[in-house]
Amino acid sequence: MTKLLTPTRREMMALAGATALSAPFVGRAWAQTTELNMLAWYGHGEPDIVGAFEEANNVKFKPKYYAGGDNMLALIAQSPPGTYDVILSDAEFVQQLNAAGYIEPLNADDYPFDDMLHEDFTKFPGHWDGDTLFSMMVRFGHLGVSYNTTAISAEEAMSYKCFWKENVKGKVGHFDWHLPTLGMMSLYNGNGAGLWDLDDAKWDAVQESTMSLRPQVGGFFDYGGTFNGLKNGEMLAMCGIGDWITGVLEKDGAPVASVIPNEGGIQWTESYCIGKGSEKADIVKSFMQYMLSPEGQVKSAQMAAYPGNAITKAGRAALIAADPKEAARTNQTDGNPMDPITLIKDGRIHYRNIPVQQTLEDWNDFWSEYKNA
Amino acid sequence: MPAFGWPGAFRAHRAPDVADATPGFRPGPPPPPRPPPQKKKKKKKGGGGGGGARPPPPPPPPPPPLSLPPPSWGGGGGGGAGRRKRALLCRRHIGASLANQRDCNHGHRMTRFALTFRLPIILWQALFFVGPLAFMVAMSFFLVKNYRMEEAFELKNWARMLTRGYVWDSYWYTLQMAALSTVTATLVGFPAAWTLAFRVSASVRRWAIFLLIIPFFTSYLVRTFSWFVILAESGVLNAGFGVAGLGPFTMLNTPFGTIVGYLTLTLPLVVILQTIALANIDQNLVQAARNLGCPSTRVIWTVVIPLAKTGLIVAALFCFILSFGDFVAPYYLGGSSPPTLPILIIDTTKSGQQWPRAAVVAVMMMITLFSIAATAIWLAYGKRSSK
Repeated sequence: MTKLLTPTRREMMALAGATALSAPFVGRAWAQTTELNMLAWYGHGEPDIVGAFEEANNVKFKPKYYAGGDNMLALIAQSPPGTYDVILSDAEFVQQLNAAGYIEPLNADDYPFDDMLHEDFTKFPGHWDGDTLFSMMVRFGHLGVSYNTTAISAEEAMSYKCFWKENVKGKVGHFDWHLPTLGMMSLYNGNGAGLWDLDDAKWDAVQESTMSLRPQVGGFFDYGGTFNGLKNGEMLAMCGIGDWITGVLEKDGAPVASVIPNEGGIQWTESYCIGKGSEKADIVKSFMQYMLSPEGQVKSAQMAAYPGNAITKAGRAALIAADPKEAARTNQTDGNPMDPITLIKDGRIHYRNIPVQQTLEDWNDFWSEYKNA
Repeated sequence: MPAFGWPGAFRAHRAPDVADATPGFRPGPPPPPRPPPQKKKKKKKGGGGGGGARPPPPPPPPPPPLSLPPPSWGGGGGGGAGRRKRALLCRRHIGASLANQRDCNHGHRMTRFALTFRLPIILWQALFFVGPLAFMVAMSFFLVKNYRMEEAFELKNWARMLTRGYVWDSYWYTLQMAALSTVTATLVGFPAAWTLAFRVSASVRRWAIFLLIIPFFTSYLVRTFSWFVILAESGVLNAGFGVAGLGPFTMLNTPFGTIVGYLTLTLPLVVILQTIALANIDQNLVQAARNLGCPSTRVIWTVVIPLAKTGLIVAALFCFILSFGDFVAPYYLGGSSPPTLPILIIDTTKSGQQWPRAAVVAVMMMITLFSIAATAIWLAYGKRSSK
C-alpha cells in the first residue's frame, strides 16, 4: 500500500508523459472544430489564404476545387442543398447561381462598400437582385496579352496583332476556354464595350479572325500546361490569360509579362456567396469579412496559386505597406498609368460576361471546330 | 531443350501451333480410362476348388456416354455416388478437352465447383463492365437541362454529334495516331523482344523483364511529365542536337510528342508480350529452317512470325486499345492540337456538363474498339481453329 502512495521517479515520468500525450485529445473534445465546405477555384482553400482564419476561429476548410463556371454549376446542381457553405464564383455566373436558388441573400451592411476602389464594385453586375445583395466581390484581375519578353517587345504587346507575328508561329498557346479567347478576338475586331453582344455579322467576323490565328497556335492548355509552356519557352505568347499566370512566373524570374493592349482587356472577377441551406452562414460571413479586411486583401494579392488585385482602399494600402514590390509589379499604386483601377476608369477594361446573342453552346461548338482546324 | 531455358511455366503454355508442329510431339488420343481397382473378393467357402489359374480379368467396362445426368444442386437425389460419377466424367472430359477440344463439343453442364470459381469474374464483369456500358449507351439518349441530366429517349445527341465535322476530324485523327503508335511499338519492340527471347541468357532475360515492368510502378502522368525535360526546346535532346549544330526542334505539343507519350505507355507492355510469344517458339524449328539454308529474314517471316502470331497480334491489340483511349499523351505532350476523342469527351463534359453527348463519343470509341479487337482475335485465332 505504501508503495502505491509513493510512486517512483519512473512512474511519475510515465504519468507525466501520458498526461502530455492525451492533452490534445482533451482539448479537441472541449472545442470541436467547425468544418466549412468550400467550392472554389484552386488555391482558395489553401493554408496561405485560410490558415490564419482557421487558427483564429477554430474552423477547418474542406475545399472542393473546380475549373470553370460550368463545372461549378454542375457540382452544385448535383449536390443536395447545404452541401457547400461557401462558394467562390466567377462574377458572370453569380446571376445563374441566384436564378437557380443556390445561394443565400447577404446583408450589404456587413461589408465595406464605402471603401471600394471603384464605384462599379459597389453594384457589380449580377451581384444584386433589386436591393438585395447575393454575392460579395473579393478580388479581380485583368486578361490581355501574355508574352515572352525575349520574343515580343513591350510595344508590340500593346496590340493583339502580336499573336500573328512570324517569329511566334506555332508558339502561341491558348488557355483552353473559349470565353476569354473569343472575347479577346472580339476586342481585336474593334467591338470594344460590345464585345459580348455580337450580331451575326460580328460573330462571323470574330470566327474568321480566330480561325486566321490557328496556324500560329501551338497548343491548348489547362492551368498546369499554360504554366509549363510559358516557363520552358515552348510558348512565346499566350491568348486568354493575364497576370494571374504570368505573375507567378514573373516572381520566379521567368522572362514573361502581361499587358492590357490598346484594344482593351477583359476583367475576371471572383466573388463569395453563402450556399443555400448552409447552417454555418455566420462563420462564412465572418470569413468573407476577413477576406475583405486589409489582412485578407493582402493575402489574396499574394495568393500562391494565382494573384488577384485588391478591391478596397484599405486593402491596397495594406498591400503597399506589407509588400511594396508586389504592389509595384502589379501596378497597384496610385498615379500609375497602368493601375488596374485607372484602366477600368479609362474604359479599357471590360467585365467578362457570357455571349448575349449566341448561346454558350454556339461559342463552345466553334471552339471545338477551331481546335480541330 | 531450347538453348534459352525458359521457365517451365511458359513451356507448358506453348501455343498449340508449335506443339502440333514439334517433331516427335504427337498429341494422340486420350489415354484409355484406368480400370477401376478391383476389390478383393472374399473366397466363397468351398467354391472354386483347388489352386487353379485365376480367370482372366474382366474387360474394362465400356466408357459411359459423355453426357451428364441432370445436376442435383440441392444435394438431394444425386448422393455421393452420383457426385463421384460426375467428377470422374468431368475429369475424363477435361482430359479429352486437353487432347483435342474439337472432339469434345458435347453438352456439358456447369458444376457447382466450376460455377463457384467462375462467379466472381462473371459478377465483376456484369457489375463493372456490362452494367456501366449499358448505362453509358442509355445515357447517350438522355438530355441535359440546367446542368442536370434528365432521363429521356431522344436521338438529339446522336444527331448532333454525328453531324459535327470536328467530331469526325477527331475520330480519324485518333484512329491514325493509335494505328501509328501500334505499328511503331510493334516494329521497335520486335528486335528488343527477339534479343530477349533468343540472344541473351535466362538471367539477363529475367532482369530485362523486371526492368520493363518497373515503369508501371510509377504514375503514367509522372512519366509523361518527365518528357517535358527531355523534349522541350531547352531540353536534353535539343541540347544534344545543339552540340552537333542541329536544331532546336519542336517536339512538344506536336503529333510526335503524342506518339512519344503513347509509346511511354505501351512499349514496355508490347516488348513483354512479344518476348513471351517469341520465347515460346520451338527453337528446333528455327534451327531446322536454318540448317536447310533458309536466310535469316525468311526464317523470321515464314517460321518465327507465324508461330508467334497470336502473341504478336495480342501485343499490337493492347497497344492500339491503350493508345486509342489515352488522354494524357495527346493533352500534355501533343498540346491538344488537334484534340483526340478522349480530349473531345473531356471538352464536351466541361461545356455545359453534356455527359450524354460525351457518351455518344464514348460509344463510338467502344464500337471501334470492339470491331478492331474482334478482327484481331479472328486474325490471331480464327484461321487456326478453322483448319
